Amino acid sequence: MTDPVEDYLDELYAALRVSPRTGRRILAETEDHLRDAVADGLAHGLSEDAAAHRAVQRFGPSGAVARAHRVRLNRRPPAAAGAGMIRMAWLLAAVGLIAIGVSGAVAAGMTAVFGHAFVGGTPAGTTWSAADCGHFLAVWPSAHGCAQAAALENSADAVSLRGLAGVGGLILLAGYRAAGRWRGTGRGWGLDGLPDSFPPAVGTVVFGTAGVLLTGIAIDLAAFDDGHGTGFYLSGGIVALGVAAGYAVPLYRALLAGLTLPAATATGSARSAPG
Amino acid sequence: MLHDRLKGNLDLLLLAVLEDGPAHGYAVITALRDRSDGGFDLAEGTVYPALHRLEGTGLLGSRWATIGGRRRRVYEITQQGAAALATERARWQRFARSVHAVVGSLA
Repeated sequence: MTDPVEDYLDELYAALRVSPRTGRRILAETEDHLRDAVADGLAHGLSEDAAAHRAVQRFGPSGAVARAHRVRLNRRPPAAAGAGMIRMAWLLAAVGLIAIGVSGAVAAGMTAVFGHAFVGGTPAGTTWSAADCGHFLAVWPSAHGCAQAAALENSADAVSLRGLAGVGGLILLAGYRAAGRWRGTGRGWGLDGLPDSFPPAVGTVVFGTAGVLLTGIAIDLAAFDDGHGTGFYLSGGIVALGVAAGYAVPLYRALLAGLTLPAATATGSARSAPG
Repeated sequence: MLHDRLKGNLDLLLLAVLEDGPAHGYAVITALRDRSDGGFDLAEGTVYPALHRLEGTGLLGSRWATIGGRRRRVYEITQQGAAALATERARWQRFARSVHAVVGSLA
């Protein structure tokens, strides 16, 4: 004998056509509700089967319920969308700064493996003012000349300043999570005011563009110059492309969820369906 | 006709139920049915989109909580929701008084 509750959840799942996260929440709440309703029916003397059928019937046709959810998701008030944009920008800034911090660690690794010139070096023929040269040599007195001192200074800055940016990103992320908890919505605010595919699309484009540009500069330096400073850009490019790939996964899922799925057959009698 | 009235006032009803304290969806719907003495015969599943919408507009908050050993989504009215409820309640009372003045006594 089939379980009417399980059958109903299957139908609702097929009819929802929303993002995986939204779908999981809707299904979890629906199952909770139906299990409670079945327990109530049993407490009132109904058989297991009758209680399950009554619970499903009272919940309403799966098609109508799915439609009500889709209408809700497509009708986003401007204020919610504006707040969603601010939250998205906040999260994007935090992720961006953390990515810069990670690129600092990658730059440190590249410096250790390939040397200071690979990360902090400048193309042959670069000239510095006497003041700049004096500053580099004052900070790196053991350097053999201005170019080497500049490379040491640049590679050290690539690590320390990017590390500082990463710390700033972690603080921003902690603030984002704390604001979500203060608002009573768990670990984060979520981005409910925006279409499910929008935040990952923005993340993919922003970080993907940055990654391609930085990697392109690095390839240009390596291929058409003496390779000095390649690591400075390559470290950023690698991390940016990694973050873009991280955003591309939820983007792909959100787009996949938006594709048309076979509509489920509605069950239960027609009942009032508020919007 | 009742459906249309209910549709127009569902937000007010949900906020009023949650004014008594945080509750999960089933408890909200049960309270709605009990307090209306069975008068609001909703397709229960369509109340959840309304709860989600109120959450999206900041009038409700929600979180996962473990209740009776089960993980449940619990809804809670926000300060903004409480203010909206007070406004809508006053508006509804004015409207009901006006209707009553025209239609007459219920008894």
